[in-house]
Amino acid sequence: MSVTAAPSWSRARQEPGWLARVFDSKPFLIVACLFPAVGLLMVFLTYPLGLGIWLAFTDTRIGRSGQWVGLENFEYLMGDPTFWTAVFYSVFYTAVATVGKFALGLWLALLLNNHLPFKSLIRAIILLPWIVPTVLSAIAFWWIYDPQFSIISYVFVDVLGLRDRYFDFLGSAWPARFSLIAANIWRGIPFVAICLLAGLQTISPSLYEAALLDGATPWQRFTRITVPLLMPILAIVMTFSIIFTFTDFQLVYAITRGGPVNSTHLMATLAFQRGIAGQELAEGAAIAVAMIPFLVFATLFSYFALARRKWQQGESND
Amino acid sequence: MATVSLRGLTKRYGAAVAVAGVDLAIAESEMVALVGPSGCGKTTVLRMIAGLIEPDAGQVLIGGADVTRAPAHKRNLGLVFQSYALFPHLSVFENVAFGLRRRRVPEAEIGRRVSQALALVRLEGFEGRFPRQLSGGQQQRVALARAVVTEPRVLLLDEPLSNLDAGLRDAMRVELRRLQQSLGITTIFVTHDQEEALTLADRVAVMRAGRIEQVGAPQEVYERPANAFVAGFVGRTNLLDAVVVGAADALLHLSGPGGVPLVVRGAAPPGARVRLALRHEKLRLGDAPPDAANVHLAEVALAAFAGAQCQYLLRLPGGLELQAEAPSNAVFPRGAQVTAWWTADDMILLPAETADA
Repeated sequence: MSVTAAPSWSRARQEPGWLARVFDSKPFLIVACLFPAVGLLMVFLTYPLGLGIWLAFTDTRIGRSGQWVGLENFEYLMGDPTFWTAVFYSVFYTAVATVGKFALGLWLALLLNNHLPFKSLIRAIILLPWIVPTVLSAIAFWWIYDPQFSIISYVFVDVLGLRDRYFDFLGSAWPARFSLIAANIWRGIPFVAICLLAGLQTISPSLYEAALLDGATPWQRFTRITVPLLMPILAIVMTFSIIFTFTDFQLVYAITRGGPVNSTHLMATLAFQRGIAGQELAEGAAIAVAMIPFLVFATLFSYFALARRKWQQGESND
Repeated sequence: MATVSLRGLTKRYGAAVAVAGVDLAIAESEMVALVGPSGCGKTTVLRMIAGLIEPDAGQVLIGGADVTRAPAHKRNLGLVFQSYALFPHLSVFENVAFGLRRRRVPEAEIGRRVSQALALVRLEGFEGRFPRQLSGGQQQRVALARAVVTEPRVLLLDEPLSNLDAGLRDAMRVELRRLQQSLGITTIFVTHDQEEALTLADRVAVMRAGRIEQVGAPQEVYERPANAFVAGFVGRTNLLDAVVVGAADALLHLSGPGGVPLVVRGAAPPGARVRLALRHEKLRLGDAPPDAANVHLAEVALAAFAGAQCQYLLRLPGGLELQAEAPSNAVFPRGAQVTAWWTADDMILLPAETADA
């Protein structure tokens, strides 16, 4: 076939208009498509977070814009016993409440995984503590822990006659700390129980039957099948639970406001106390920023220690 | 290896009877298929043998000993689940070793027996893999290895081939038979696929609505079905209702649907209503030999080419429609007039149906 004679049949292409050219250019499309999402993230996430971190390095007070002071706020906090009490209690609160929530939540999930009468009704009731607004349940607990009108004290002293003095739930440091932990556990169980129940239901009953045929005891079935198969979902739920508990504010602020004598301050409540109530915005911001490393550590720990198992990955042969 | 016998095995769920008095004796090293449509109770029977379901009445005997109330792990059975039920978090080796570990077998022996079982199902070299990394057929074989590694007395298979695609199913069918024969293990398997039951089993038990309708060798069940249900379920069959007109020389003359005259070997009083079964492949097309007792002119209403065979729907003058299957060396197009014929022995006279028809 001769190439020389080939006539050009293609019609002269019409030059596209500027609008068409703009919409055809890749850089423009990337910017245009990403802008809404990036804009929202910048305005509602990055800006407040950045502002909070920036504030932590200034001496801003409410009503007075501040100057850059470097690490001065953190240096001050290092020598502040109240801050260290709050750090200790935040870690203690998170650790004990998480253990409590997962022990009771897993137990409840295992119970609900059996065939029970009125199963769906019970499951709905279980969710109640989680549905009720925190402040509302906090006020209820405040009432339950009241030195004078506590229902628990009433039952123990006036009904059963087991004690002759009312309980002192919130009056001194350690009882107050444990009372708050109990309230947090009560609130957190439904979330854990329902998530773990969902996890349990993904485990095929035939796995248990296979183990049963091989003579596995109920305990072996729990440790050899339930626990390893529940691990992935457990890791995710635990990460969330730790983050929610560590950053808890409402329960503590509504019940004790950090008292008595600052013994039940969490880092979040102390940050609010110093930053808003005490007007030292910069110091509050510094306390809030100090929470970040703890949260990063907790997240990484759950993610790497508990999450992805070799057996979950497909394909690869190693 | 051991015999298994079921005596009056019954299971009810509320008012519904899942299994209604099943009696079955299975000899040593025999392979028996429980076959039936879904919901016929075949899996329930298997699970009662395994000890996963407690029967409401009746007995399960293994090796002559009554194990009806014995816990599952005391029965020494191997069970392959329909879903295989491999432990996803354990390697192939640990999956197979699971039962041995529960039985506290020494570590060295575990290694030996697991390799032996994996060699048996031709999965050497797969010890370190996880179930997720295996194909369906390989998972199936791991499940088999796990079931036989504990040297059970009886092997139970629940729909062993239903999760495999057609080609693999044929290969696994051969594999399964080879394994069963080399181990000589008493095997009971459940299937809804009558073809699978016929090809794989020494004996077939056809079940319907919680009862066994017929037990027998595959050929026997196929050639001499006990009733219309078995005739219809096993193999492809035309079922015809007819009235006896007369009898001569051990042959019955009947009037079929639409008044079509039919001749069958058998005995029945004149005027009796009977049921006849005619296998698709027994109905032949083309020139009839002189001994063909039934010869009819028919029109091909539908023709479907299926490789070696052709499937036809034939319409007889009286309006009677019959299905036929013939070798595809002669293909009749739709609308063609053909001669359809079969002998008096090709058609099966079914025993009178008792309650339901």
